[in-house]
Amino acid sequence: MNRVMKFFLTHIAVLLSLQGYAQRLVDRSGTVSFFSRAPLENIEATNHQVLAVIDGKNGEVAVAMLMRGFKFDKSLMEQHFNENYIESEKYPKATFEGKILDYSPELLTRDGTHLIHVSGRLTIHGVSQTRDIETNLVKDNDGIHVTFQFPVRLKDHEVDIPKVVVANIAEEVAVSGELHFQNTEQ
Amino acid sequence: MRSRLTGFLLFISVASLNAQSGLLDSLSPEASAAAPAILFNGTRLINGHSVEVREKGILEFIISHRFGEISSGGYNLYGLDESNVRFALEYAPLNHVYLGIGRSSFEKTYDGFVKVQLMRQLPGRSPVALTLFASTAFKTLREPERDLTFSDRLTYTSQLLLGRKISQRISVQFMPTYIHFNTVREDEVRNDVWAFGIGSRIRLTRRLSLNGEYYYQKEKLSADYFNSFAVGVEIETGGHVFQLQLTNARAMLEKGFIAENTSDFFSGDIRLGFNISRAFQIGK
Repeated sequence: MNRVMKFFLTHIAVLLSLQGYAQRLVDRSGTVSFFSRAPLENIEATNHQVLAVIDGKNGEVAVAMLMRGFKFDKSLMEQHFNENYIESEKYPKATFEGKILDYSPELLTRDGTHLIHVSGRLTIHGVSQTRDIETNLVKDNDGIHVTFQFPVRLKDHEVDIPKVVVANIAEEVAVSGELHFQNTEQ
Repeated sequence: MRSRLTGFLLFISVASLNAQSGLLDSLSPEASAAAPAILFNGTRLINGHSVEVREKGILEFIISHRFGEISSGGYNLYGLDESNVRFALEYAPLNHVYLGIGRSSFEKTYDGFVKVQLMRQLPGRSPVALTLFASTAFKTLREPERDLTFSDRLTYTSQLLLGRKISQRISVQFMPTYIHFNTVREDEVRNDVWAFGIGSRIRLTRRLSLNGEYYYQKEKLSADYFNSFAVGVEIETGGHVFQLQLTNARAMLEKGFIAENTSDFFSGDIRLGFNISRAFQIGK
């Protein structure tokens, strides 16, 4: 093996080993929905452009989505959601930053189904709350699939419901989501 | 050469390590094209139209009411005895097109309009919202002393509605208007009226606004007529928009409130009025 080959091989080896550390799982089209059940009306919207990333090294998690990405059946409802309730102009994004509790890299590399807890800060309408979210994680041949469901109290994020529409909007909405990660990405 | 290559390779490996910090920062949702500005809560400013139209598939029902003049005194309960009503049904077959039909109790007039939104205010695309409005009014009030044909009873109105949201809380609008009356009353001296309207909306809270509207006529139909002035509050709740106003205009139709006003706002010929609109999504 000549010197040039050795040179390249060592450098490639270094880079490949660093690849292991740089393992990040990304989903650019995750789904998040919310549902509000109230006596007069049910409200439902879905966002199909949720961004999520898991750091394979330490189990850190980040999720971000544009509030305008939530689509409603009724366009007027979507307009009011953005203009009057969520104030998307002021607070365009909802984010979650946290960490998988009791994390081990095997969760993401070995086939299996796990019920994991993700703890972190959920920020909606500019207001953050610390949340511990129970999540279902499945690793199979297609990749890693995460599903979750948790309640959000509108008051916790300073989303006001005027008394006049109290029978139309629930104080607590059910949020659910589905994320799919395809192996490694830098 | 070799050391430079080494340096380069080490550099990119270090760079990739650094890219791992700030997990959330690495996620930047594609900035959705900024949404077009919403200037007004509904399709009406006070008496007249605003630049807004409804989205495709929305059906809107509007009831407008104007009482009598407050200056008519206690005997008439300061105008509450008199009642003028207009019902309207409006529909958006397409995203930028709005159609409506209505009927007013004043002179038993039917009206139909077409409203086309040409431009919405969007940073980078257009600084203003521009909408065209055209309406035809058909008066069915029996006037046996005049021999009126079908065509005599028609009046045409066209407006250019130009609006701009100048801040989070304030929107303004200009309404150059042209009205043509096929037939006019005995004391009226012309068939055409050019007018220029200005209006504004000041958002007080997320759901409450203060609106103002004024139409200046270049040349009135009659020297005894007045320009219309209106000021009101607007409350928006879910699918309803409630507007309560004070105005001198009795009619709720463009040709009526712009050009046929016999009440003088500034002499106390003020009327209490309200508009209630309810939007339903019936198409997709």
